[in-house]
Amino acid sequence: MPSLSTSQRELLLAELGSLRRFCQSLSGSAPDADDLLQITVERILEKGMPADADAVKWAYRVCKNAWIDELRSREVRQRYPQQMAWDSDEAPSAEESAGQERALEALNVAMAKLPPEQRLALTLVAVEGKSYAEAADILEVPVGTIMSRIARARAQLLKYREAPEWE
Amino acid sequence: MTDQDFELLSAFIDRELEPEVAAMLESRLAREPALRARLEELEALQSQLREAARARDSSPLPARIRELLQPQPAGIRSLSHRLTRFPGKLRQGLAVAASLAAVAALLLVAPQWQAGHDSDSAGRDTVLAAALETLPSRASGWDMLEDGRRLRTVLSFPNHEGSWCREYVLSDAGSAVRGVACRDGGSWTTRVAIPQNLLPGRDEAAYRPASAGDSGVIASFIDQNAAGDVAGAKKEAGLITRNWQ
Repeated sequence: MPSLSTSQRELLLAELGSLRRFCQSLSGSAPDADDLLQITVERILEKGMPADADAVKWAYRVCKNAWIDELRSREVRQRYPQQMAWDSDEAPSAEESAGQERALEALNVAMAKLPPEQRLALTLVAVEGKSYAEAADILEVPVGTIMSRIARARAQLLKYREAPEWE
Repeated sequence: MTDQDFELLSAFIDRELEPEVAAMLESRLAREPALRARLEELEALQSQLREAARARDSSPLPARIRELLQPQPAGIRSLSHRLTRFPGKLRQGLAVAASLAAVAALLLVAPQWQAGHDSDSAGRDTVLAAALETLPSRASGWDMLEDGRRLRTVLSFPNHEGSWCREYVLSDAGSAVRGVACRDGGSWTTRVAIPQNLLPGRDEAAYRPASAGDSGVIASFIDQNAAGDVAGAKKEAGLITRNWQ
């Protein structure tokens, strides 16, 4: 497979921030997200991509597959909920936190409790601004599945929002 | 509220509804306070999701990842530096046997490469050592050495012995090596080097590893020897100023 063209490299460079958030959505912590991002970039550089490939969508798919491989190789599926701490250990203390910050932290915790497929769909669309069609392409599921996953994720987050720690 | 209505509201704030469906929903929103209240909740959640993502984005992207994607001269195969918290997990294809074979070859390659260049009594390449002492790393381009060879220092990292090491590419008269030198006793000594062959029909700036199996040798060396992250530009500049102390 051909190596990356200059334009594909530039597209990926411009997309790194979004890709990193996607990695965080997958891995649940900033350090793991950076490692996953690096592995994703390395894998893309090693294996290349077709000249006519959409570099951005390709990168998201490689990232998702790299994480799946990682989970398989480490057999951490059982540990996954514990990993999804979303850096809660780095959260500021109650005294230091404004109410808004606590709400964001609560949202992070709630996001971590979502099933991964819902969290990924929601991240791609609600945070990264991808269309349903783009998210479906990246996650390799039908558009209707994306729509229902996002709705279910939002419903769940609103339910968590009613919990006392959200306020 | 039905699940179907909730799904409609969710798609509405994502601007994914067909125009006629969106118009019908807007009409209902105007006369159904409960539906409107739910929409407002969803919009507030949307804002919080984006804000939370921005808050998590506070740290800059690691330079090592940006560096990997920097445009390179045609033909260069990017090397993985593997300074991650998953060492060896996703790249188990990097065969130890291949590394050992390549390292054996290196013992022959490095002196051969250095032949004809200024060296000290220990056989160290003094011109290269002087350049590694003072030149900052660069993602592309070359620094011309005083003896006509061209050098690109790729990155700097600390090793487990408490010394600093630098990965580099050194080009000379149509051939090149990629290596790692470490600062031992105040001087830079090449620990590992892999020949990079010119690609047929390409210009002089285009290289590839001597064999596919060699491409991971440098990465493997760094993985095994690195004791911390790659120095960023600012830190590296400080190290150069302080003679790598």
